[in-house]
Amino acid sequence: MASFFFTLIIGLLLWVPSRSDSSDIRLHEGFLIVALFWVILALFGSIPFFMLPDSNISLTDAVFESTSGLTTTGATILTGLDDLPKGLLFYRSQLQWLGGLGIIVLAVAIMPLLGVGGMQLYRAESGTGIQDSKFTPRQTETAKSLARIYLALTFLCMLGYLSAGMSFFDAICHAMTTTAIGGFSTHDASFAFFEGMPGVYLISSLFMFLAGINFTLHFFAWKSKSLLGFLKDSEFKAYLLLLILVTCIASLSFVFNDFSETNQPGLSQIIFQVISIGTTTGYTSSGYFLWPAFIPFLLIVYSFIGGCVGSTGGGLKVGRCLMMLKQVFKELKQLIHPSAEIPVKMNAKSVDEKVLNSVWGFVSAYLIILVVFSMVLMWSGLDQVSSFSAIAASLNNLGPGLGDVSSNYASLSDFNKWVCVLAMVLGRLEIFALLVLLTPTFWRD
Amino acid sequence: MALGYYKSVFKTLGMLMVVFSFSMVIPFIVSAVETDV
Repeated sequence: MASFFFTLIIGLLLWVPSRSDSSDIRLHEGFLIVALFWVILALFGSIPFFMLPDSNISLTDAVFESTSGLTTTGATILTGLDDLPKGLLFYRSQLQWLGGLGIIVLAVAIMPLLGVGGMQLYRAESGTGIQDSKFTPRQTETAKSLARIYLALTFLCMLGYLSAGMSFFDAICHAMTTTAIGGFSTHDASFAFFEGMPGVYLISSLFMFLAGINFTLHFFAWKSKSLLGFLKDSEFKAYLLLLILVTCIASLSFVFNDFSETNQPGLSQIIFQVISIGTTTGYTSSGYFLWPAFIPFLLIVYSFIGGCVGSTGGGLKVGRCLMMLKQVFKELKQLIHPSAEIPVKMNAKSVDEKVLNSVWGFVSAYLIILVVFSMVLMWSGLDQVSSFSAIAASLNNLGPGLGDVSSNYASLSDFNKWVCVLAMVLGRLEIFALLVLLTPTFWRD
Repeated sequence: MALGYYKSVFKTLGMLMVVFSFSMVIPFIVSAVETDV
């Protein structure tokens, strides 16, 4: 309760003196609010972990766990989850759920206005992108509509888990972390704990898949009572196609690797694992890390693509990767027809050159951070596989990596944990929303 | 002066922190129920 009073008092001290302010939020303040939202809440959110009696959780570990929760990464430093107080397990799940809610509002209502990483394409009222139908114009209304859909998905997911045999507590905690594409579990074994319940894997796969879709598509489907919007959306089609393709590649890998038949997972388990890592949720099923080495690596690479724009997923996002792929084909065609005007199209509409440049800028920054941060971890003494996968899993907001960080980040040094915390926040804030605050121009203007 | 310029930032963040603080009460209730059971 001390953490509640402390956060409440600081919040009131900030809010009360400025509550009469009715000026509109400008671009400058938009960037500040977006960045500080995750940084400040992650710091205050760490207090319950830090103050947990008889646990010896250091400040670094508490901030790591809290940031991992709020950014919906799902990487953990805690062990012995099954024996932890239920209140704390619920709090971890709730952190992810609140973080997921914040991400949807950020991705659909705020980021397009800030124009980070080509997100202006998804500006609801722009008419140049996916949302050219009548989306609620006011941002607050947009946020409310998205929150309702998010809540409804969580509730349906919880009912699904209950019907599949989960206990009420597990169902509510996992429903929150599934819809948030978070990946925190109430058990050390993650989803391997539910091995005898095939329905649980099915429900989880379905809701992770739904949460990985752009929430505005859910909104339009709900408004129009039609699923046609999904089928018309090129990002959704690419998202679906990729999941099928990666599942096929992963399944075939078992055949080529002479994997022992006794350990051979069923197709539903492979689909579950592909969706879990591909959408950047991060749940793991039984024996996942014993699968042919190619599969965990394939899935880590796949997590770079992540979910759709406007979903709770992490990574570069399917929409951006699709735009880049189309740009590659455009360049190839341009070589053959140098004077031809070849546009890059999304949903049958030309994408503005500025948007494409933003996307390329974003991807470049993403890759630079991945390389530099991985090298920082290697420099501190961590092996190459663990370093690369820890940063990839943090930047993509995935959670489990490979090597030393395959199930837990507890073995990392404090320095490495702080690097991962920074990577998680950078990944969640689409990099530029945080980096822009570090430029002198931002403060001068 | 500079702080006054960012009034809307403080207002929004303060409001979010107040809402966030109330979310910390729910796990406390869960713990209390667990202890009772």
